Amino acid sequence: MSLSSNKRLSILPGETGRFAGILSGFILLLAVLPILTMIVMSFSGASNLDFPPSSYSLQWYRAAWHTFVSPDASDVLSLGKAMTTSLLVACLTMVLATLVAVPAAYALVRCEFRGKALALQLMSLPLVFPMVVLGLALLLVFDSLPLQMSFSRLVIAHVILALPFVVKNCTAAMLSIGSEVEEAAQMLGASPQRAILDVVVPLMKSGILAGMLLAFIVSFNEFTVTYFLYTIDVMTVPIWMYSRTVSSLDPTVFSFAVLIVLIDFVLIWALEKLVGEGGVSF
Amino acid sequence: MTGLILENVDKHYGTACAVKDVNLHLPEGKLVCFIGPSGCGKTTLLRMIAGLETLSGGEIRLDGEDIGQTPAHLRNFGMVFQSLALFPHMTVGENIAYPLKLRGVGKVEQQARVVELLQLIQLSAMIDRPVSKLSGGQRQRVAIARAIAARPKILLLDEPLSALDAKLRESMQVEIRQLQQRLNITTIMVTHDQREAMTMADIVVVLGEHRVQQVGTPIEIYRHPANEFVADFIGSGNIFPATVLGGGRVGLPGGESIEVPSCAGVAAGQQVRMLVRPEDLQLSAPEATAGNRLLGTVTFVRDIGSTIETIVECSGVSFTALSTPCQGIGLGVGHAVSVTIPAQACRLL
Amino acid sequence: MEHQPLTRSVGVALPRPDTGISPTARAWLFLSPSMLFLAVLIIASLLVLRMSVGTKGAEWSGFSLASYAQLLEPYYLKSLLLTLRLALFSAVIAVLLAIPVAYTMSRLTSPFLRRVFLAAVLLPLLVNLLLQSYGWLVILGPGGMLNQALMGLGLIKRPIMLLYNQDGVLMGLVQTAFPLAVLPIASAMRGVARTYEEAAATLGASRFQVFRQVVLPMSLPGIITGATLVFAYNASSFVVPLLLGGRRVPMLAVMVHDQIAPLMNWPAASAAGVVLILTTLAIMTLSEYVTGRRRRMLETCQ
Repeated sequence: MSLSSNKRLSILPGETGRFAGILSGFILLLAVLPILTMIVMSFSGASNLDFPPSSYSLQWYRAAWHTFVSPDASDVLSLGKAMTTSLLVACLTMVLATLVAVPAAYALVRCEFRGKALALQLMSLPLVFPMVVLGLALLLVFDSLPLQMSFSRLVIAHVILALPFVVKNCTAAMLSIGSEVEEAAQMLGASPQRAILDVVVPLMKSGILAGMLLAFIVSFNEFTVTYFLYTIDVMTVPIWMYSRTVSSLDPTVFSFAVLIVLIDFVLIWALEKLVGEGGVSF
Repeated sequence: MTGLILENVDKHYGTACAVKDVNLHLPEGKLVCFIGPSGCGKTTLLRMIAGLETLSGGEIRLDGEDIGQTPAHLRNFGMVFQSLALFPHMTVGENIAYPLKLRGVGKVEQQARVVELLQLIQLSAMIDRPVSKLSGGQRQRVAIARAIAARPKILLLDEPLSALDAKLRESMQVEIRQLQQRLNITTIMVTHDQREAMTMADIVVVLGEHRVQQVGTPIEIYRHPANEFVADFIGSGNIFPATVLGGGRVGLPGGESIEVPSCAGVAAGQQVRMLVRPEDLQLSAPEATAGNRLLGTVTFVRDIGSTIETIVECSGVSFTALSTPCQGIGLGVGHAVSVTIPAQACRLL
Repeated sequence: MEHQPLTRSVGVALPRPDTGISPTARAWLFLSPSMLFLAVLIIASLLVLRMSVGTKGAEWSGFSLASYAQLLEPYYLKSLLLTLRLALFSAVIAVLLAIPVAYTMSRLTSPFLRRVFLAAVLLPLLVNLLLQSYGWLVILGPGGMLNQALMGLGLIKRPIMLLYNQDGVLMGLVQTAFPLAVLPIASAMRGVARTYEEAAATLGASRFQVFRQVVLPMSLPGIITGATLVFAYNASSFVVPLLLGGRRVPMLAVMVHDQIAPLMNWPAASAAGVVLILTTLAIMTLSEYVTGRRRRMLETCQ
């Protein structure tokens, strides 16, 4: 062991070195590259897909705004309607998924019961279940039902997809609370249900909120399963964008894309602020 | 019969046994310590009394009524958890008022009681402080205040002082004891620190291997341990094998024999275990063996200021002796020394 | 809630009945709403299974294994192999790239940096796959960023075709599934207490040795989980091969969709779907088995 080489203590064990830091930064840059590219392209002054763009302008934003406000009836209707649908579906998903996930998280964290391992596995199932098959399967299910459920089936599909995220968030939040505060409340005279309401839920607030945000983000951005389940009347924004670009890639899409990415980024930032990394683990 | 009675209490998880065959009668107004090595079941026992665990067998009765079926939140016992479990989203005042709120006590009365308790624990200024801003000792006191706010019949403490540093722990021991006596509330405390139990308790329950090994006052347990387990766990001791020679004499492994009147009734030839406390051994300048005074060699000396600990190899047994500096005769490793084992101080286990 | 004095009469000593419902029943009661949704998933899967042995035209009543037989045709076999291969490669590459990022993430102290890292890691997972594919179209196109960079570096003379082939799709797969690799690995690495690294350092290990011999092995369950998630996610990837591969990269999920529209061959689509499900399940079970043993070993030491 050489004692002479290190005159000053370079990096302590357990800290990240500069090499690791730079490497990680670079890889992360690559990870968000498509998104960054899109953002840059939305400001392009040319009408081709060359990168970097030869000139910059706000033409696509203007065109996008036009689409929103223009008298071209079919276009406006579609986008406005699509946006409304997207937001509605996302909000419903958010509320429903959370209502369903909180008691589930309670059971998974606090209770010892037969079949717990199975339940845990089932909770992660939507994450790895092939999305095309889910879309196909849901189509089969809902087509064979006598009711026309084009809107509800979308919500149901989105809740299924968002469930693992929300449950994981809530279980992490509950784990950090610990069971002793609940028992303490009981010893002080609170019935088990009262103990949960008075102590567990308030402490879980940020975790629950984070779960809701995640559910919203997942639903708002979902494409694959929605692609199987949409109809002319019930269309979400991602589907709308796809329909516009099926024939040719219209750069106006980029400006919409930037808007969506912005919304997503703000939501994720808020999410992080609420729970830190622990809540968003697998 | 008043007080808390445990009768034939059992608890097992599947095939693993947590406590077995516990029979206790804990009178009112006393501070009882459950003490034992980790894993002996003392916390499980406390939690069963609290109602946080079900019983696998047996009964728990309070003042004659069977409380085994009563859920925890209806037992009206106060409990302080090891982690204290103060509610982080409430202030000190709100924490203490919580049990009163649950019982429908009016706001004015709540406030009065909270103020009264805060005065008792000397934290009157902290009423609106969030719990996270308190020091360890302060939180300790708030946890206790909260537990006694609704005037519970019994106070349960689960290793309340284990997280505190030594100095704080000692002062808290005294505070808790004084509080308990002032309120005259039956208190059961779980601890693994036997000195804590000896300092604070009226009654000590020694648990080992999932059973009650002995119940008694601290002095009883110290002076008259029921078996080797208790003798070894409480206080330090010299426990050594010996052979009964008859006529009140026992033979030590090294061949020498001493007089031990308490062995008079035991048949000769029996192998026994004996206990003699370090502070009872007397060291003196080396002289010839006579009566219970044997010759030995010093193998280890530790002078820790207030006491001197000496280990002497004598007749095949390694004795630890404790003496105070003023008694001492300067001893070093390898010196010869005389060890007197007072006949009355030798206990048969 | 009344708090009466404890005045219940004793009576005969009863055997210990459970007060209220058993803990198992109570737990499942809490789980029932979620289970309802997941039940939809399970029922749907069973329907797919049933459909896969139906015949075109008589989907529910017919019974034939023709759809499965069809899967054995070279065209479909190629697709299956392609899917598995791309999923495997993407899993390996994603994990390799994820390890340094996860390590850095797990050891960061500044809250701001942590938030930036987390946002950067989550974005590819959550942002619309469609949009990211568009971004890739720009990056990988003949006039796009990558080609220009390579030409600028003098590595190639003319733009190479990165779109509408497997290379482009592979890159897209790695990038979109990247978060699925990072998060479990970061979580596992966070679980490797710093004291282990410090101990290794005092024993004489260099930084790299510490990483390779202490942190990495102890994070193995997380790494395997990450690889599994990426594999499963990408095996059923739809949007990426669709947009970046054109007609040239028929991964299994694209096949499934093609069978429905325009072919309306539900049984065939279902059969392909069943294969996808089985592949996913197989991988998950294998990984559970491997990590389960490893995790138990780690737990006993801590």
